[in-house]
Amino acid sequence: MNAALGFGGVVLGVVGCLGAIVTLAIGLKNHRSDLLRMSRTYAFMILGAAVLSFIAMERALITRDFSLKFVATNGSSSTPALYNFATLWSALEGSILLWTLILAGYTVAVVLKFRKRLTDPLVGWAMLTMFVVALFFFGLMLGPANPFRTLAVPPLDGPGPNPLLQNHPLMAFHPPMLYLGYVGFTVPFAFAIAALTTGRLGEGWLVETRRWTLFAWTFLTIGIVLGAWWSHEVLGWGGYWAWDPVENASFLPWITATAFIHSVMVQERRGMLRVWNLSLLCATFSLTILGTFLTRSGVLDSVHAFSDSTIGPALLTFFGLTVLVTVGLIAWRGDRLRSPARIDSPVSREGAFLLNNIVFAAFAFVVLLGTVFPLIAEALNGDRVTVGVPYFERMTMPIGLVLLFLMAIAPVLPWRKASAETLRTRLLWPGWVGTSVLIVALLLGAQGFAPLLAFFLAGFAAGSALRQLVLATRRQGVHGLLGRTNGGMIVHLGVIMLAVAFVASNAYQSEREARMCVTAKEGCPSTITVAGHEITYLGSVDASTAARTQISARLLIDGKVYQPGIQQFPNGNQQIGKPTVRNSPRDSLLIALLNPPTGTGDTSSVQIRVVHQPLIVWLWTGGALMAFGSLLAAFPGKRRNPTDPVSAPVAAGGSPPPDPDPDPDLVPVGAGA
Amino acid sequence: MTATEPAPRRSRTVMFAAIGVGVVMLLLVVLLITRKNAEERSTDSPVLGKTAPALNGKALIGEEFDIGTTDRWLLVNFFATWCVPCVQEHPQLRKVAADGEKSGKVDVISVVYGDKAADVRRFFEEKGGDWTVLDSDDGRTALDWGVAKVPESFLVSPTGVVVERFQGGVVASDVEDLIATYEDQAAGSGGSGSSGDGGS
Amino acid sequence: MSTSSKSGLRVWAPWIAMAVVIVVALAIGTFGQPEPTPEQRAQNLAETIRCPSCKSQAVASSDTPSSQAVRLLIRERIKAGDSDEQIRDYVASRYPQTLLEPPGNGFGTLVWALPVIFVIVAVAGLVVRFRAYRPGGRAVTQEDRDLVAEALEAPVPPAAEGPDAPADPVEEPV
Repeated sequence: MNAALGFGGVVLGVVGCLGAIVTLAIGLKNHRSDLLRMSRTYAFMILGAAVLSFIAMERALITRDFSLKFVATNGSSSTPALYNFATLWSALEGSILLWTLILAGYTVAVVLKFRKRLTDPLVGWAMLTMFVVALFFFGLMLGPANPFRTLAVPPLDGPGPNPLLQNHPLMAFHPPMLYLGYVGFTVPFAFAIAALTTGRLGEGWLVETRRWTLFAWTFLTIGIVLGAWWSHEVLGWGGYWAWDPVENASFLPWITATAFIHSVMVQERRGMLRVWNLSLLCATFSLTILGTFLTRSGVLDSVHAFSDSTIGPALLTFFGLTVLVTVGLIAWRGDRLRSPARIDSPVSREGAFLLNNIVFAAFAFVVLLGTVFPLIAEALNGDRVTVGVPYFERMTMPIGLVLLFLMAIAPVLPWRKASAETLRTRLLWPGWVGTSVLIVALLLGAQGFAPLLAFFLAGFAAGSALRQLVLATRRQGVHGLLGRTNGGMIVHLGVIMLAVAFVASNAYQSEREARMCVTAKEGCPSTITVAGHEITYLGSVDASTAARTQISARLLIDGKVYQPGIQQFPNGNQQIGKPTVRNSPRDSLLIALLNPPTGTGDTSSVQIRVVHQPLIVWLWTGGALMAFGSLLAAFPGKRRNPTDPVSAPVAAGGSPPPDPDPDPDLVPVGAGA
Repeated sequence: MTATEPAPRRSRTVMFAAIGVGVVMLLLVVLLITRKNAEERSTDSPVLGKTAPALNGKALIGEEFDIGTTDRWLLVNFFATWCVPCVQEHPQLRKVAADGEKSGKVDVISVVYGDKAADVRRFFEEKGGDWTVLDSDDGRTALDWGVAKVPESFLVSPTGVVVERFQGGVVASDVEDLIATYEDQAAGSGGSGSSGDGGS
Repeated sequence: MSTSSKSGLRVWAPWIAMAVVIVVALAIGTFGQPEPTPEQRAQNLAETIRCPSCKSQAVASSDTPSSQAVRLLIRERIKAGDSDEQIRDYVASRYPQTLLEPPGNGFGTLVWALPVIFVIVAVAGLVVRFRAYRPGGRAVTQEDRDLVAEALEAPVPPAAEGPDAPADPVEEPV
């Protein structure tokens, strides 16, 4: 029953998408508003279809319906409820189902937001694009990635999800957040295609979809940070970012989206970089598809990869198609849509944003090149090279430093042209903040040219952002924290926090393995000291639950008891470590058991690994701050229409006084052609 | 802004740039579509065709072994009791050992890879097999032989050169046929007992 | 923003002082570093060698038997006095393709060179574009002066926005 319902939902979705595409195509061709308005109906139809499939699959998982192949391979009667629910996205077919559900949700959201403009051909083309993408994903579920395949003879129980995917609650949140981000980029992409097709680039719609991009960007950021946090807590080595191909795949769209968020401000103010912004949007969407392919095709060695390769060719073909369509449209339309405006001086905010975009483009290039280079080398030369962490760190370090520098000077740069005096006066105080941070770091024992330089630039950038916020709140009170510029400064502060934590935890990490006994003896102490923290072994304890057996070691760290353990799940004899992390604002201690504790009571002993990393907590805090700042940036704030006069007379016969809280739906016309 | 702007040049920069990027991306697609799965790639062995590295582990079963003193064929097998294909190939190893004992030409020696001594002894008690089993020497032997995954076996000629590498389980008949082939070659080329080129 | 007529040096003095402090601090931090301890050397090496039986993890973050063997080898070799290069070479000779850093010679140089070339080309392109854009500045004409005079003469409401120039980014509409 579940399979029938679920598959019925998929079929309904496919039919709905096809219907929508045909209807919209005819409506656009023959200028029929009634047909264009039907996109609303179809949107709700495919959402209903996706919800139906989703509910069917969850029901199958929760009731342990092993007649479904997906449940039989991934579910189990002993998995706890939360992980059972999350099992849906722990394997390939289910993840496509989640993607489709979110895509349908976004389609409905667009239809509702633009309900008064559905008859506009530009919106029509955007909806058409979204339905085409939705058709692809529904189609995947119809064929290669069908989650509703049934088994003739259902087994009595299933193996459950991979043990590593069910020992931490973050597993339930990381993929949905990530997908809300990825899939969200489909919306601005659809509008980019629409603008290219209709040739209407000069209006404010691109700026309007900026909010959608920001929304998706926020979730992608949260998703990536949650993933890093999860890795840190679960893997037992203190690592949280390994420049793994799958991690890079999720990072690439983030880079291009961040570049877009900045360069769209240049478009808004000066009407420039229109074609570049379109390209960024198309690149972001294409990279989400490429990323999905890399994750699911098994072509690259990765810990994270789903190892199925049947949908690889389909995804790659879709990627190729997207690239062809995008490039074709841009090549066709691009030159006609270029703005005649010019940049007056490189030392200006436009100049800073341009440089920012070049740096982000280089960043994306480095990450992409490093990820696929082993394949290129093998294809062209037969060489087997591995491109790992050392490459990425060495390449991204200068990029990171330049970005920190730009974060420091861009907020104080005026538009059009800056003078040396402007910079000199405005940057003095942030400069001293940076210098103090450098000195403090040095006094705390930091060493190394690159980390110290990074700390200085981070302080510099933080000072600049704070200056902006202080000036804004002084003038506008709490409204000084809202709006694009101010919210953006808070996001920058989050980024800086994250950067400092990243540098510190990587450069000053130390690790130690030790054998400990309850009663101290030669070569087996009962207390060790690591980086100023005292760790005492108290004994072992059985911490098994219904879902898994676990033996934990009780450790007293700085007066509190922590229990890292080793788990064993019923589906196999693989033992999974469950480390614990002791976080404090200053540093984090990660303890992992190397082997289960031996002996009992007073003779018990255990081998542990202790990893000490400074400032880890600030990674997650920084991420949270970025999300928070992004939320604040979405508020309209004290907006003024950019073309309203600032200091000229507002006499009778002139333009009406500016509305202090304009309707955010009204699109401000950009200055410039 | 009131000055007359020159009309935008009818340049084609964007078109060329877009086409350039498009071509590169499509090449990437072609590249990716022609790649094999990562798991299917195998690596070359660094010991193939060269003198066999030392086998220095402590003997868990049987007596101490010195690879230089024998002039019989030697099948060096790396295994672990937790590795399912190793368990499956065990009868094949027993056959090679038994036949080799009979013909007096082939010895078998096993090296533990990442396993506990007690488990290994129990395994051999249950499954039989009386050839020498060396301890892993903290994994050093496996490292010297370039072994990263078990089961992996090597065939060493009487002159001490590694002539063949078997990834995955061995099949007794394959090993014996191979030995026969090499011996024929050696006999045919003047009986100096030199080893042929290492295979794949 | 008044154009300052103070002497250049006085105006730049705080910046020069800051620069001096920064340079000194960085110098202390860079050249005052102690030699890496054997522990640190072992950790660094372990982070740049891939675990032979894993997909993409470093030996430093993997528990497979082969990783443990490599880590032990690293420790032994460091004690025996081998250099980092020698240790890496030995591991690579036993397990090809385990060095996480692509080589600096042969085909591998491309992966290092291409991004640098990319940045150089992009920046050069921008510079060329800027040259073409130089507006050259028009001379101020009488027409312009009249326009300004006219605007200044018109009545201004008392609730002015304050002395901040429109170019102040804080003031700018969000």
